[in-house]
Amino acid sequence: MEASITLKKVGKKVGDKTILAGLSFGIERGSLVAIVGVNDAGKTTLLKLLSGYDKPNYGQVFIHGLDMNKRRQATRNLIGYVPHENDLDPWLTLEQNIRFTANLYRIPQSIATDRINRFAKKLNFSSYLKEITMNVSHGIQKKTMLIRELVHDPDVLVLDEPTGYMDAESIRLTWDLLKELKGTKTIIYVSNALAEIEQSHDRILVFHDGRILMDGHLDKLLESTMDYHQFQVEFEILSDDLYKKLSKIPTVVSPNRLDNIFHFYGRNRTVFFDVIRSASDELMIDLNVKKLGLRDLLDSEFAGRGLD
Amino acid sequence: MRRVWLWKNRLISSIGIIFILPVLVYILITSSLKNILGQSLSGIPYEIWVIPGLIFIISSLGLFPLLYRDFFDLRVHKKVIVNVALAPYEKRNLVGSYIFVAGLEAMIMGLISIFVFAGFTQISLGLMEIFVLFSCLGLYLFLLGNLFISIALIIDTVTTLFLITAMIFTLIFFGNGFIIEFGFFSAEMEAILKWQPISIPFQIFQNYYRSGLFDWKIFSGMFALSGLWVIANGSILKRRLIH
Repeated sequence: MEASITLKKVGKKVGDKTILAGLSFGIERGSLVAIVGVNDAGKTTLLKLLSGYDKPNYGQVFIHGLDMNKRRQATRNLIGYVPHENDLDPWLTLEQNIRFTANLYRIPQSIATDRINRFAKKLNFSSYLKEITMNVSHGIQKKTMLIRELVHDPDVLVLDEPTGYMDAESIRLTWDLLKELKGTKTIIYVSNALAEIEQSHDRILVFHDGRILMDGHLDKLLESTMDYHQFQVEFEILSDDLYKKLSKIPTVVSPNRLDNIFHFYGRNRTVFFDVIRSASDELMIDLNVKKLGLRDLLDSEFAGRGLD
Repeated sequence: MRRVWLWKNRLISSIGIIFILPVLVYILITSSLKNILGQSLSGIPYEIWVIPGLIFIISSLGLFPLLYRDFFDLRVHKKVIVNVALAPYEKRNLVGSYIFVAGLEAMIMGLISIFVFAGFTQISLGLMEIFVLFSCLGLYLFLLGNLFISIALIIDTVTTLFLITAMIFTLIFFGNGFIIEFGFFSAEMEAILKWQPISIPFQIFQNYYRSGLFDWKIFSGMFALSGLWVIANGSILKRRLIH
């Protein structure tokens, strides 16, 4: 598939600190790509480089094959950037904010009106369009910021926390819209809402210290840990001796405790029975088994130990 | 668009300000200074001589809030200006457009003030003189707009910005020849004040008013300077948005 975004050895420093270190990767046209990572990992810096808001110290960023540094005007027409924080004019109405951007990109009034109405309907906020920006909630403002970028029909959407501040219904509607746009637009976003990322991605880039730690679809990322399960056993009393005894079972991986809950990973379900057998004399209150998710993967990777 | 919205939604207060400002400026400056100065150095009654200078002052007062909001308030609060900066335009074109729109609005305020002043005093300006006055006013607002934008982009704290702005307005009021002629200063101060760029457009007008000669060379030179200043401000804007 043709590349929409290509980074070649892109680096960014702020003072002496390296924020991004020689990043090279490509993103296919029409794909939905999530970027995750701990705070200060360089995620927002990467989005700023992709949006043209900031420039790399070295390396090149290409949008649809055009070098962002050399073809600035052309590439900016291709990109829509939604920052994390609200940057709307507080004194204008939501619609005026959107139309202002439509004018900036020379979108004819009739087309802008059509797009505003269409997207506002999809996000269920048509009734707010005439409201003054500072009088509406942050979630509504975030939806406005998304439509403000969609009104000039960019090929690439760069989104920082696309559902930030939104209620459950708005989150669902926003993802429905983004998934509908996927295919015709390349969407790259940063989010800390891991449950949303699990449901909405073609590919996940896991960032750490300005580098890509993992890259792929969640299933692929979890492939090496596919057999793993996460277990929890709640005892009436989890003594230190019992905790030590259970932790020493060879098949138990990454044991942990929270009060009287014994938490661990295991390659197959038989590990669970090993633990039950070893603690057969103790009173157990609750048992829980679940497959690994993105959070478990990140937790283990950022702890630097992995699961295998 | 924002300006249109503000005019629509605050029509009464906006019109009120446009009419109150010239009245206030006239009463506080002219009615007192005419008793001190009496007449200009060339013998024109002060209240007639000062009218063009008051128009420049009113336009200056009208220009500042427009540029302050767009280049300082919205920038430090990270509103709109980032979105505008990411649009496919050169930064210098953005700066030029902002100055043009703000300058136009400030010139309209200046134009309205002529009608207000006509209610107080006799205005001895012919059509050609008014045309030259507004040409020089346009050039002046372009230079002053650049100055306001430069300080609004370089400074990040509101207290420092207001202190510097107060200094600039002191210079505008007293050091530009608007209400006090340069001849009242010492020869050294006169030489310094006459050569500071934002005082030159008014001198071009006064020279035309006195002699009928319009100094195209200096006018063009100052116009070129304001163009270079727009490019410099575009570069500052680009750097300030990144940090």
